[in-house]
Amino acid sequence: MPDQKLAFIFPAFASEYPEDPCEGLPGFEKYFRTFLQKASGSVDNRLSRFHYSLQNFLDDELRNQYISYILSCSLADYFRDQYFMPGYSAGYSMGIYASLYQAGAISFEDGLQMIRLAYHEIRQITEGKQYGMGTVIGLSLEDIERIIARNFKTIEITNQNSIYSFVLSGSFDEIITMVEIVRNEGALHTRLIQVTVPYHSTIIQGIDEKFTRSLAGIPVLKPQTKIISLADQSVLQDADALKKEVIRNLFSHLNWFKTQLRLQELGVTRFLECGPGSGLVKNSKFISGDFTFSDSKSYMNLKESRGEQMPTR
Amino acid sequence: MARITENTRKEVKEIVYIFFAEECEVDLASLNDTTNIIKDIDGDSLMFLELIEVFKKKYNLEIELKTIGKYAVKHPVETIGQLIDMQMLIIEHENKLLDMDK
Repeated sequence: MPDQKLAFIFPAFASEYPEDPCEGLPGFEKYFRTFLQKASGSVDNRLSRFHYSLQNFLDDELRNQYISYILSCSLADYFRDQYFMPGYSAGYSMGIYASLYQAGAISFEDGLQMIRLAYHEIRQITEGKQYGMGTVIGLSLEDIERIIARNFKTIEITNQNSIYSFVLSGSFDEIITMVEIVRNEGALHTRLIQVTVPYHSTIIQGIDEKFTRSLAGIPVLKPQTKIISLADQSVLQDADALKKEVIRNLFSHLNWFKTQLRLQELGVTRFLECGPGSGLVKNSKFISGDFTFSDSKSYMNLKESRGEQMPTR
Repeated sequence: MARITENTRKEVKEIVYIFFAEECEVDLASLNDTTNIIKDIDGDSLMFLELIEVFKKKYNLEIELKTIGKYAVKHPVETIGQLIDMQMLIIEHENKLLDMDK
């Protein structure tokens, strides 16, 4: 039975990898290598060369997305086999595909196809123009909105992570200028995200119809886990809602902050970040409520330290 | 503005040291005032933000984050010692922190 107090959260893409991502996860490497092999045969044979430090594709936008998806799906299956069954899941940004896979709504290979199609179609729509994304920490929503209104034409707030943390998308030149301005306006931290397209921005809204047609041949089933939309925090429980979500996710403003609060309202008290890194774990310290937010390794440690027995098959 | 006592610096230092030892999973004894937060112990800006929140609550401070951010642009913090110095100034001057530069 799914644990209604547990939510799996699938992050977007990696910005770095830990020294040993499999540490504390006995047997996980086998899951990852199996998925990596499948992906190599399905969408890109260079993926088989992946190595956490020597060939990690962090500077390759599409392959980075593939690897994050592969890691996330591997963790989802690994935890399923450890009998961790979440009542809810959510995909942060491009983590949506892993969320659909975990819920049994799409096959692993179809998730890869969705990533490939989305990437290439966004590329077509943005061809000839330079775009970017950045994060700003330490200013309020009102401050950022005021700065945008006064200075920029293309920049949009495309995700809010907490009261103090925002993601912006827009033209590359404006994002670079924005980063400078917000530092002088008192932002504690800014960072450019390693992407060249404005994900979750209305700039790419024109992708809607074409992406809908492209996805028409990919079967999407009713999810076995309730998925929460980052666009409007609704609970997605049928195939049609998921299809629409996959499409609008590309060009809709997201709000992770509201999504976590919504999950808490629904009764979730334990969050597990299933993917590379622990950015959402760190971010959760700035969201109030009675919950724990773990990455995959710390979650396993937590279970063991409480003396909870892993059921055996 | 918060009242600074003899014990305030000691208290702030203790909180900062324990915080970084726990967050960065390093031995408390390995930390000193010259420890570089990013290069030596892999700290990050979210930790800085978390510490500010800790002190805001502890000393009931009235200070906007952007005030601290503006001050940090002119007085960047790299080491634990510099961070403690800045926290002391934040506690002492709160929203008048930027007046220090006038």
